[in-house]
Amino acid sequence: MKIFKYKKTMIGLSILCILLIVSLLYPLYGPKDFNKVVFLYDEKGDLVGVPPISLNSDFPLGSDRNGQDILLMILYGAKFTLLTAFSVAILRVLVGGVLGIVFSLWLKRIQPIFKDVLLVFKIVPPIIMTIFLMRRVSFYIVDANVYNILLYQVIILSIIGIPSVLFMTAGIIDELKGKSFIQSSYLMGGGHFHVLKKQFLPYLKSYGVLMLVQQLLHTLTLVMYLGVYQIYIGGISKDEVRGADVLNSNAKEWAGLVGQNIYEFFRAPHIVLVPLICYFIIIIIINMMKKELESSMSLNPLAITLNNKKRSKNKQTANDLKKVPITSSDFTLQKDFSS
Amino acid sequence: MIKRILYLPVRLIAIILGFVIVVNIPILLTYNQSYNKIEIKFSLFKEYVISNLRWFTHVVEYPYIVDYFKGTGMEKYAYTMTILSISIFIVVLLALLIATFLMLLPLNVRNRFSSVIDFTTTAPDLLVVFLLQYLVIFLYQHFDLRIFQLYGGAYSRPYIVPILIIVFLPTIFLIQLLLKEFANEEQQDYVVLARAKGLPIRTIYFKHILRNIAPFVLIHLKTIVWFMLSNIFVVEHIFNIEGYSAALQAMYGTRVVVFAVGLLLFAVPLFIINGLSSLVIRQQKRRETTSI
Repeated sequence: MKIFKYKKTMIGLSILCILLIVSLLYPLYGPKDFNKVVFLYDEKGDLVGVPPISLNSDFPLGSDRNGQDILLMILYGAKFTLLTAFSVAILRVLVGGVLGIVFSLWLKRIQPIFKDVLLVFKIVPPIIMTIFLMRRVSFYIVDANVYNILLYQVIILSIIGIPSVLFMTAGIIDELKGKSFIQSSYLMGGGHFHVLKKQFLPYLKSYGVLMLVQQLLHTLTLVMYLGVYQIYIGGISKDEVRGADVLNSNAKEWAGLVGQNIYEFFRAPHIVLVPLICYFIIIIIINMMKKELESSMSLNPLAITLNNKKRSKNKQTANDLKKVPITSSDFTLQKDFSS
Repeated sequence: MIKRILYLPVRLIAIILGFVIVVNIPILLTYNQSYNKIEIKFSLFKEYVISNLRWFTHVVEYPYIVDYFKGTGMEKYAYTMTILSISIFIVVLLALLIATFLMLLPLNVRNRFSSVIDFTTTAPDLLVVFLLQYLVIFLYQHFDLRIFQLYGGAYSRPYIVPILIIVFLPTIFLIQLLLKEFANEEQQDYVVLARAKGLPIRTIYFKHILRNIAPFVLIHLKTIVWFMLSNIFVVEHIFNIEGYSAALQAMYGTRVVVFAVGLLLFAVPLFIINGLSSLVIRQQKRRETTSI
């Protein structure tokens, strides 16, 4: 397998996997109420602190307003963050990719109309759309099974991103169609399916991996924005946040932890900064993976067809990869300008 | 041409249909709280879609839509768009200036700067919001500078801090993109020729390369404006500013047509930039074909 060639990607993926496993095993080692301590005493029995307690030996990452240990909450919530991001990204790329292929090969006739139907996604920024679509669900109090509401939110988040993947896939196929080896394959009598299997797929595979990472970053940003609007992945809990007029995240998902404590920044900054920095670390890891994948993908279908007469031919590097989506479709929003 | 004009109504219907379907997704897919499961209600969804579509056919009532945007609605819109347009202006100006300045630095210093920029672009927006917020308060505490109003209220409209926050990340993106464009352009033949002729580097960058890069700024702006639109939405919420985002959320409960018009108005900057950039692309293509 060539996959071991990508060292950074493997390291990043294994870190995320370990985090996920540790988080999934939380019920085995962690208390259900996240070590809730309302009054903290030292050995002599003197009162040392009331929540929110800042970082000390008992609470390595401090405690929040309800007296819950932030470290434990982060460990518990990691699985929801990671599962949401990964499942949304995979769903988007799979569904969007398949639809894109179908619409640009077999249903070429109705593709323009289909593009018009999906024009809403080009006009309205995804965060606005998601807020309006998820608002109904977001204020339900969830007691028992988090995974059902999680599934619902994952579906909605995927729907928001599918059109962008679809347009990107269609763009790649349209670019590839102009190339001589594809045209000769058609001329020699290859059907759509044959050409897809033999010619398009090798390109689409490597491009799909890149899109997957891109969508991961996009989902993480989107979920973080939703947290600010108090729309939490996994619904809200019936416990109140003591002393603050905000809803309490049920799943303790990281973006939710950031969002619900957003106004704590000046009173007890650790409550919001700890989850935010954890989130930042995940984003950095995924960005690192993306950079490596991008630099290794020297064979880029779009860079070749983009015949910049101005540019000399042997300088088609990864830079050209970034240029194409921007000129051909306005769908690359996110922050993936880094390469 | 005639074909295209005849095709327009079909397109319009398709766009409206798409909009109505998307708005009604929560009806089709609902989460039932008491049973804790996901339900698909297709018949109800169909009903909603048809009734919503019917609203679009009531052309007689279209003039009344204006009522929703009169007064405070229009004020809020003007406020948000002012912030946005000032921000776009500042982003372009700052990015061009800083990118050109960085290019004039020696190569090793420039590389260090660009790696810092690469790192900064990965920062989550909220972290930036916090840090800038902290900076403003720090300035106030230590130097008694109270020039910036941080939070919005009932009638107060802060300008500087929202612009500062909205501008920060897009500027860095644009600098990053511009540096890449500069690096590409640097290897062109005309630059080599100019250097061989003995022109100073500063003249080459300011006079020749910058002018050739300008159209690319417009193409990249498309992405940047798109990014800023969602940013402004969130920033207004965080700082409790009564901007257009609040008005838009109030519109969601009212009629579909009003909501559609509201969203369209919000996307106006996007349309303008899209039109401009497509013009630029067309011109660029024409130049390429004539050069052959």
